[in-house]
Amino acid sequence: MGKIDRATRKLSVNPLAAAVALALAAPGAALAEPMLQVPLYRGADMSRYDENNVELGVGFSTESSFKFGEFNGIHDQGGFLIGNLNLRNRLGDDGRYLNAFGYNLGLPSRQLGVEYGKQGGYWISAGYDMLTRYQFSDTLFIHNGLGGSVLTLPAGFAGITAGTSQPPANAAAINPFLRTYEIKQDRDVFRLGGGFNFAPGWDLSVNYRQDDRDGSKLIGAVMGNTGGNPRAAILPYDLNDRTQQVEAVVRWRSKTAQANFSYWYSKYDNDVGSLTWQNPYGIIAGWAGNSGFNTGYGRLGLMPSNDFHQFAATGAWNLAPKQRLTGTFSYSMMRQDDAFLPYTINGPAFPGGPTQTPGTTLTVPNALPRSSLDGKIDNTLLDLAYFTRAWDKVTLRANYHYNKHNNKTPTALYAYVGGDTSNQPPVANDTINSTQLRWNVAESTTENRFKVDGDYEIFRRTLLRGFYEYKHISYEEESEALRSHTTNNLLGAELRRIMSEEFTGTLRYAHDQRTGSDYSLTRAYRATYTTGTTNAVPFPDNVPTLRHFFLADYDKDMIRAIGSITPMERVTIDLRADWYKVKYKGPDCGGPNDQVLAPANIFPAECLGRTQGDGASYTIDGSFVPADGWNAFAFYTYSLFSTDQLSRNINNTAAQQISAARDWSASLKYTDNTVGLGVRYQPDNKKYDVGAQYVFSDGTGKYGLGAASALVPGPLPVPDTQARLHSLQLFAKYRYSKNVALRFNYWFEKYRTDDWAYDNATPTSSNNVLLTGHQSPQYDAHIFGISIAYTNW
Amino acid sequence: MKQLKLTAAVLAGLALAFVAFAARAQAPAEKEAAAGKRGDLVLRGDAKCTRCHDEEDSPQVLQIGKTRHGVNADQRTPTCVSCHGESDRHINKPADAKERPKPDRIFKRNNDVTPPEAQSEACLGCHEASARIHWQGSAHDRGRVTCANCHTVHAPRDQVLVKETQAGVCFTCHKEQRAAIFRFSSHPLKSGWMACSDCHAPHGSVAEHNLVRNTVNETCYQCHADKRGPFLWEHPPAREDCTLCHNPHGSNVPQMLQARPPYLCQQCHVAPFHPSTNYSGTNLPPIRPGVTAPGFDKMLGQQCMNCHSKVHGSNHPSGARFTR
Repeated sequence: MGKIDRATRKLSVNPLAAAVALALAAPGAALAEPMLQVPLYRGADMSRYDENNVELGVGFSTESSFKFGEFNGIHDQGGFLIGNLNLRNRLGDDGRYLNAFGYNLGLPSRQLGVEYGKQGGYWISAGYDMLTRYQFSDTLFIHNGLGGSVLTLPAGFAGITAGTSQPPANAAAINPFLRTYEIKQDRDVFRLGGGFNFAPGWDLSVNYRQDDRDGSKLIGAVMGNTGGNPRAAILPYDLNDRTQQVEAVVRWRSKTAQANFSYWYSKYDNDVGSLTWQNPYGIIAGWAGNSGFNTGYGRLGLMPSNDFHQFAATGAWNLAPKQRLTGTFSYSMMRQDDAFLPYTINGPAFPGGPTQTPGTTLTVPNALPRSSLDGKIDNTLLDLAYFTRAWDKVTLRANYHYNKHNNKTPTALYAYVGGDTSNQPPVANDTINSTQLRWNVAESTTENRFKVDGDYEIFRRTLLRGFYEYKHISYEEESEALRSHTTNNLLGAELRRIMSEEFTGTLRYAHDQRTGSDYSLTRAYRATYTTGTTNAVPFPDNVPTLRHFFLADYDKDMIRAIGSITPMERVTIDLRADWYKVKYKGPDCGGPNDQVLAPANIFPAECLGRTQGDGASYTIDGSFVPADGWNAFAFYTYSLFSTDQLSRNINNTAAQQISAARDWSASLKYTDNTVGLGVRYQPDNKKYDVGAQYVFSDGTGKYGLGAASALVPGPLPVPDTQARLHSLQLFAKYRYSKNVALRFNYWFEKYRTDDWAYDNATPTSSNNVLLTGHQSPQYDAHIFGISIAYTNW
Repeated sequence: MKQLKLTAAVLAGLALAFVAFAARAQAPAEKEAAAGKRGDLVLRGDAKCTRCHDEEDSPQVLQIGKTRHGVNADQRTPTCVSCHGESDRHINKPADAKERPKPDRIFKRNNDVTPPEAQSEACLGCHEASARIHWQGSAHDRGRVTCANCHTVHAPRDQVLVKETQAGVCFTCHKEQRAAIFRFSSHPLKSGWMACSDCHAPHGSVAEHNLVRNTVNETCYQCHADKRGPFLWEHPPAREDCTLCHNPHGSNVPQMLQARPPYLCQQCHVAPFHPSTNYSGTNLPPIRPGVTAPGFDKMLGQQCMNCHSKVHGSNHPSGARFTR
């Protein structure tokens, strides 16, 4: 029994219905395969999909675990139905066909589809997929109205009193009101499509997809987040949205040229624009009157509805034998114009503005500068590629890529009401010195990329390849980025040797370097704060030698080695190794660049932020046919992702900001060891087949911390995080007759996780935040399945 | 509601089964008709091949009759020689040859007869349009991957074209991604609800990493359109590239994050007070005796997102700090 609460609904199975289903189950013909899991290798048995077949059966799970059933739907202890069908029929000798499929029909995560058409003429299809993500079954909350958009506090709740160590000091007052509310999301996808060949060489297809999501997710709801007075609660918000997509494509083809013309429209509608909750915290210093418990409310905006259009054209022309020119142009438009929420739900409203309830004495004198954003981002893309195999021993590809991300969103000055508890400044004006006045920023970028890639056969079946890529991204002056441009130069070489059908090997090395313009921390500061503020405080409060890793200079080395050996007819061994190291650096971390207003000695010798990254993946993978009818595979993969970072623990005094004695470091190292083993046997007469598959996955996160002398007492180590999975599947199929087969499955899965962010943390464990108390998942699941399958040959 | 959906799904499935079986029962077997008219076993003009490669000799080869390449009614349907060449020497073995020469074009990996580009040419003759328009010079093409390395043309169902089985083909080379699906947090690929091709275009595209859309974010917005905005308050890395913070193939950090907050966030945020504080194991629960002021609100739960919950962007007028 894991930590997950098992008091969840059970999927009841009517025994009579199950018996009838089995009795009717002429259909169904799956080969023995692991349950509800993709194959891990090529050459999986496809008989389930080959013929007309229907499979019906029953399964049973011993475990209630949201984590086990996160996507497969077996989240509860008890029975479930097994239902799969695959029907493929040609309707005559004129090429017409009717196909239908349904997978996992007895589970909440299921797929169903049908397609009718005439090959070479037309087609129509429809599909309906359902996916439930079971996320948390043991989350605890004190509010009423869970699952809705307005959460209130229960009668009798006295509030979390002001003072330090809240909520921990109020545990006794909070705990009686806690109750479980499951966090899960349903996604229903409806698909409709069709197409036809309307002239020789021409065809048109139109596809529609609608995603409906329903359920709830967790979000941090904060009350007062400035001046060191944050209070927050993790709450569920109502998820109820729809995404609709239509894509129409016209294609043309001839022997020497092809073209695609497409239009893609995507519309996102969110039925729930905000989450409102009653503030459980008693008023604290810095909050406006009555904004705390029990008159104050908090409100945050949820994701705004938006839409997207894209027009694209791609053409390709075979200039001559073995030479091809390809070009793509696309223009995309993102639009968002949802009505703004008012600055705060707590009144009184600004003059002429909407009435807000319930009233508090919060001061909100400034009106919104506009009622909605009118957000607009246009993307223009041009891609040209030339490829040739015109010479015997040489191939060459050249590619130019242009992508303009043009943010046309209007900017304005917005007054800031922190967490529905802090007063606005009296005047919203760019000359005012207030960190509560902020300009929104429309960031635009232009990317130019050029690649050339060629190989030469230096010896028979030995290729030497070289490649170079230049990438330049410019960030417009008014954008929030800290650099005006970055430039990448990537250069690499690869040697590939094909000794024979039995042995191939590849060795590749590449070096990527990013440089760029002066790194200006004040650039973003100037872009978003008022002139009054930046004149009064010309230097932002971030440590000026901080470098954002996605903009910083770096040197990156990458090595790849691949080998494939078939030492004997029945054995194949693949080896693959990927490794990289990236070192982030300057520019100018040892001295001032454009931050001339900062004291020179504020700059440490090394840049802060991410300083290094490492990654590796090593795999040995083998397949083995020990005897006729037998197949086996095994693999082991080691993966590494690690980053090192340097930081400085500071307050807003220059003394701390220049003190290297306040530096600290963190080295995050994530490793995975994954082992897979599989074996299958099928005798010559194919009367039955049996198999087993085992997967072990052990993922560990290590957090190495270091701190300089001023940070005493030194920090305690952070425990490792771990996720360890054992998954064993046994499967068998017995062919009762030519058309009827019985299928048996047993699946055992053991999962153990350790996560310091959740383990042993109750809802009241944290200062300032009311948590949910859910624990990292553990489970031991035994799944049994028996089904009968009918195949119509 | 769940029971209703379940019942509806089963009933719909059975209805589809009935319709399809009924339709099939009324339809003449096209394969038999075609064979009867032309004397070919599977395809038009294949008799010179099926003379030897009959059901006794090559049942797997003849499975092509069950595929779209076996539909004679479609005038575009190829013959055996369309793909394998006339193969005269293979059909009429020269007297001095010890072994029968192979057909003119064969599709086995790294074979001596047909180089990779010639293998793919056989397919591109008909299939170069649509999604394959970018194939020549694409990453897979340059890596000497051929169509037949992934597609099984003679099989009734091609493993790579079935969503529930596709990943197994991709894992042949993309071995780290195979391991990644077993990590703590991943997309629903392990259970077959998603496929690699939902995000990647294996035949090439204009995007990096062979993505199906022009950029990483555009690809993610297909299913996560709520993150698209534009927002009043944009978080620059979220607008630039989702993978700066997320690993879409799987991660042992919740929410498929590349690394664990608060440290991930602190790689870009070093400001006075809590953004620059060196959080550690101090005061992680269970609380030790004598500790009176737990201070781990940035280490527990959603960590930095306990307050800054709108890191993908905020449209609230007071959302400049991504809290609203």
